[in-house]
Amino acid sequence: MSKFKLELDKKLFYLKNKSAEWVEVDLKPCFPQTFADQYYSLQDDKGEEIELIERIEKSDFLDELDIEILNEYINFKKFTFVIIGIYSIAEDFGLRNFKVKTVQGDRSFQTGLDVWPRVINNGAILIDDLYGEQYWIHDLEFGQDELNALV
Amino acid sequence: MKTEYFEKYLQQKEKLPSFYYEKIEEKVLFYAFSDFDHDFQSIEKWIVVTATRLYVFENKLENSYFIDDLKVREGKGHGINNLTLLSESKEVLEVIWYGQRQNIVFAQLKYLLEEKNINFSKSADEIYQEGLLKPLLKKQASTEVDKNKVVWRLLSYLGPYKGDVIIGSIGAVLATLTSLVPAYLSGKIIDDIIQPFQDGNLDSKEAMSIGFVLVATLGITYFLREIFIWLRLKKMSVMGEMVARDLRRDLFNHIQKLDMDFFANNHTGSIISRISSDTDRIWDFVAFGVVEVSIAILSLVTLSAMLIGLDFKLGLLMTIPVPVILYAIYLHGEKMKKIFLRCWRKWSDVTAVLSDAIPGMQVVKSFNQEEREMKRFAKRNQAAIDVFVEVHDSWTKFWPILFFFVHVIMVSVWAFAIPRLVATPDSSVYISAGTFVSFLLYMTMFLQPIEVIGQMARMLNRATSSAYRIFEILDTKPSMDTKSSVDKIKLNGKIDFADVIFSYDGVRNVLKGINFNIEKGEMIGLVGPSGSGKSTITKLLNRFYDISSGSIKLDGIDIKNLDVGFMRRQIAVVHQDPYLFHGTILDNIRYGNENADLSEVIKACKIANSHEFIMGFKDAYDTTVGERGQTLSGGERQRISIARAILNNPRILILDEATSAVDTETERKIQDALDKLIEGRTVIAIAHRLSTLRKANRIFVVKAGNIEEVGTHKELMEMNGEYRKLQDMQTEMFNLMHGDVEDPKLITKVIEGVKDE
Repeated sequence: MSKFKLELDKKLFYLKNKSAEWVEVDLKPCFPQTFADQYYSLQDDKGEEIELIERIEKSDFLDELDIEILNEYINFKKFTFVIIGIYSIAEDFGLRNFKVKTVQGDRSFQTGLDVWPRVINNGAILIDDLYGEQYWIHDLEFGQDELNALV
Repeated sequence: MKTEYFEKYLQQKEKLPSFYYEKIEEKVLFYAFSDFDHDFQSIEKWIVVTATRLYVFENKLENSYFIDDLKVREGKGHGINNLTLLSESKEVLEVIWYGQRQNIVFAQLKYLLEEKNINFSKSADEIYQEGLLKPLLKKQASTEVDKNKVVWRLLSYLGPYKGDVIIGSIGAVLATLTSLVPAYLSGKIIDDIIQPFQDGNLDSKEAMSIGFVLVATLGITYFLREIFIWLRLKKMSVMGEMVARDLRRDLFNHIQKLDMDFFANNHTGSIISRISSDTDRIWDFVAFGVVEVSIAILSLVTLSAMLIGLDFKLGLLMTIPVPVILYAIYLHGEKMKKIFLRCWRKWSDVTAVLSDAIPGMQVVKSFNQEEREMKRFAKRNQAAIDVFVEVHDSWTKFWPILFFFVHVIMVSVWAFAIPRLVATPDSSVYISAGTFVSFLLYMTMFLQPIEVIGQMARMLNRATSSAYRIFEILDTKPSMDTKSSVDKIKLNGKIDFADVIFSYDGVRNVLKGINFNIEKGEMIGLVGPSGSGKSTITKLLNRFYDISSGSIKLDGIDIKNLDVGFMRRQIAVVHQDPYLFHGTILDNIRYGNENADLSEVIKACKIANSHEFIMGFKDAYDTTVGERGQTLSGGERQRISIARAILNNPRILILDEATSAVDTETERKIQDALDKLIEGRTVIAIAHRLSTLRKANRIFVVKAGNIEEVGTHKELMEMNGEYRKLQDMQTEMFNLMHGDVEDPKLITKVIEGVKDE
């Protein structure tokens, strides 16, 4: 039996100290943008760290079932849009309007004019929109020229 | 307008489709849009709330729940969130997934379901649309989204200088017209004097006399032309500076009226660059742009007319390619726009290093990282230069190619003209040498307006983008409604907070229904962990922000009805790290009371225990404190700020961690100064060190946006709650620091306690 359980709404619970009570916990990546698969902090609902996990797959703290549950949880937590094509990037009054193709389908989003795509150390590009949504670019099927104008 | 935003930017429906209204018999009070399913794929799901029920519609199928039976919990991911509907027994009924852009609306839905509060003053459409458009509208503060409108608005700043504009424009038009004369006269001299004289049709005396008249006319024309050009340059350039000055003044004045919200959402560097660089970038456009373009177009038209008038066929050969040339200039401008965008981006990388490294120079040096910073700067500087080189590559290629094309046309004109020049005068194709010289001179003049139009396209792009940035600030309205804030009441100092709820971002409530009353002259201590809402309470009292709901009253009057400036002058705040302006100590002390008597200044400083150290400086009260008062120690800055507060004679005094950043001796001096300052005033003191609140009449313990405990020190200690916990922890910490504790378990306990706090 796993010491973790994941509910329908992706709430993660942990059987702390083998007590009978499940405690709601969060698994937070320490470096969500730069080294997303390394170092996770398992925290209780008060933000207290229960365990620092270096790599989920190699942790002595976790068994196979735990890893499966935590990976499903991480998939939810770290979900961001991945851009695979850029239709257009147009400057509008006070903002920049992106029309893109993402893995989830076509989407448009906006950034401020002084907010630029960030090149992360692994070479990927990250764009934060006005609403706090994040868009990653790894490889583009089309629209490279549009992107080059900004990066 | 709203429809456009939803279609163009959000690509989701602007309101709940009518189908759902027909389906629900009750009045719709609220609705939200869920844009994702549990597999993170895009869907369309509507959550509709009426007075009694909550409906969830997906593909026109519905689930409905009684609101009173529902509990909710939310889950936050990086890109996707969820709101889970639970039964009374906490059984999961439904999980609703949504992206970040639905956040504000879902936060309201959560609040509504938690508090069972469905009394909204706005319609369901308004709540939904405002929630979704808020971040967009915040960015697009201006109503001017049309480039032409921006240009016209910019030009409206010429209004006060109508006279100069008219004189300058007349000068420009006359200079253009007089420029046409020399070419015409040159042809006349050849055809009417030189040619007839060489042919023997004109004697020397007559040739000389006509020649002198024409040469004199030529001289007068050039003289007049330079006068007109001087008039144009003088009037227009000065006027450009005036307009830039007016814009800078309007911007700065407007910024003074904006709320703290504006400053929290805009970088200082960005605001400064709008007032300085952006206003500077538009002056040349205002000064010369419009007139130059108008004159260039006028020149092209008149020159085309002159060329066609002189010789129809050659004139057409010269003028027909003009639209092609102008189109090429336009295309080049579009290409340059993209490169300029990249320049801007790279340049902002360069300035980011500057704004990072220069204020942090002490850290750079203490970690011996000068080399690293030099490399970082060099890398970005080089990246910027690479793009600038691209700019120069582009225009240096374009213009020679364009002019080569123009010169090809000129050569073609020569090629067509030569057979006609050597034809006999009675031939139908004959063209006189004089006419052709005039033609050639006009042809040469043809290049200049084309060049001007090319330059102006770039100037226009620069100016409009700067104008957008300027108008964006000028059009930002203060988010607080101060129309009814007119009462200028001299305050006694009674404070009432009733059911105050407040959120900075419109989503997370920092204060969750605060209630308290403070009597005139009472001293209140606010204690609690960082982020609990203590400082927020004092900011709301100053009306730096408007509350989300509830009321704040001073002497029984809602602060929304009080004149904000008049009210704030009666409330003084002494911060942990006080801000001093670049200037003398005297200027800083008299900041809130410019006309204070010198004796009052000294008296205030004596009360604030600052007179002694001020007199230790060579220039005493005239000592310049440097930017942010950096030449003074923290304790000295603090005591000057206390003197400033004393001089202002406030009715309400807010001490925000006033003594937490200084050593014990300085703290004693500051505390002594504060003790004198608080006499006879209503005081709210925020402190982590509970010992500094020994004089407080009552202490409020604030935790997570609520007031958890209220009482005197003694009462709170007897309550054995949060305050007692804090007090015990600090006592233990004190003992620990003074070596009175040897038990390692106690040390661990204290450290854990500090972490909790």
